[in-house]
Amino acid sequence: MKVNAIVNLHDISILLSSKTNLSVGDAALFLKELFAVIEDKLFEGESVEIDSLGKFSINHAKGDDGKEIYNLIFSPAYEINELVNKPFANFETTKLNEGVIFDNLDIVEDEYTTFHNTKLEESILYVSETVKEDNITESEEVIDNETVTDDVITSFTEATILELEDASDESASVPIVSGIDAGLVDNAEHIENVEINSEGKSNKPIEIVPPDSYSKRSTRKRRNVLVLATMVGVVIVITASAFFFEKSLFE
Amino acid sequence: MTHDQLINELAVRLNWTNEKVNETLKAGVEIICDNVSDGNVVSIQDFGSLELKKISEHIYVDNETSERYLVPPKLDVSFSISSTFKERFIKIKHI
Repeated sequence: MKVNAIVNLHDISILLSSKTNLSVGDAALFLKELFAVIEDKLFEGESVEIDSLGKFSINHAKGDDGKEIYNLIFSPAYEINELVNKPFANFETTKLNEGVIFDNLDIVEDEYTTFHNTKLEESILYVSETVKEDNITESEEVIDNETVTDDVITSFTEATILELEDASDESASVPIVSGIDAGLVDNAEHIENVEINSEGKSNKPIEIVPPDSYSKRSTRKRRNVLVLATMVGVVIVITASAFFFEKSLFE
Repeated sequence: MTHDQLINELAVRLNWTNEKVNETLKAGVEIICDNVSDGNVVSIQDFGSLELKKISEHIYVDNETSERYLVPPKLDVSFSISSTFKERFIKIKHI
């Protein structure tokens, strides 16, 4: 048989019929039923194990971003792994001495993650696309429904924002904006144009800039600028008062 | 589902004896394994395909000890899902 050829179920039926006493039709029927059973069981959430071939299973997991991921995992049996790796049976993993360099070889720091993740990506059956958007909508709804009081408005001064950021850095609870997660509190500096009505309350929804646009580095930078500005101000005041004091002495 | 349960299920569906199913399944698996190990792609319509993928020779660095190891090449039996199977899965699961 030609190497790297594609063998389909019909070819396997012919080979199976020649290997057993079955007709080609019966062999084809057997293979059809075999994969129908595997498919049915997988859809029912069961795994299917076939001796000397491997195990088929469907894995359901939730990603870091909240997306639901379904994978069809095939775990090859020991026998088939041994069979296909016969040409490399005599090779062993060898410890390399210092100074031995191979320029053309890839360097892998985490073998399991590198190869396992590649395999997982290839076996993806379905990935939900809506969960992440739902999360965002949910967060925005929470903000829309919040009635911002005077306390909240005054809390969004520059200094308090810095305090809030410090508090969130230390994993402390944020008392002013309840119900909003820390990621959104971190974005408090992006809240703009809050209008106050006659009752001293604001009904305008707060604009939230996505968390990606926020950087703690910029906060530190701004804090440094504030400190520097304060110091410069103090120096100017001292210099000015010294100047006027000196001038009044001469007069 | 274990191998034995699979044989029982096939015997019921095909109205064959367990021995006949067992022998046929064994022969079928041998044919699939031989073809895969020969480098052929075994394509099962509406289900997927089995083929070999080579993991090239590489250097593995142990993060804890910083020791380096030369890892020999390896062949991995890989399964690719057919698009029909994916579509049926989504339809059946109502997702």
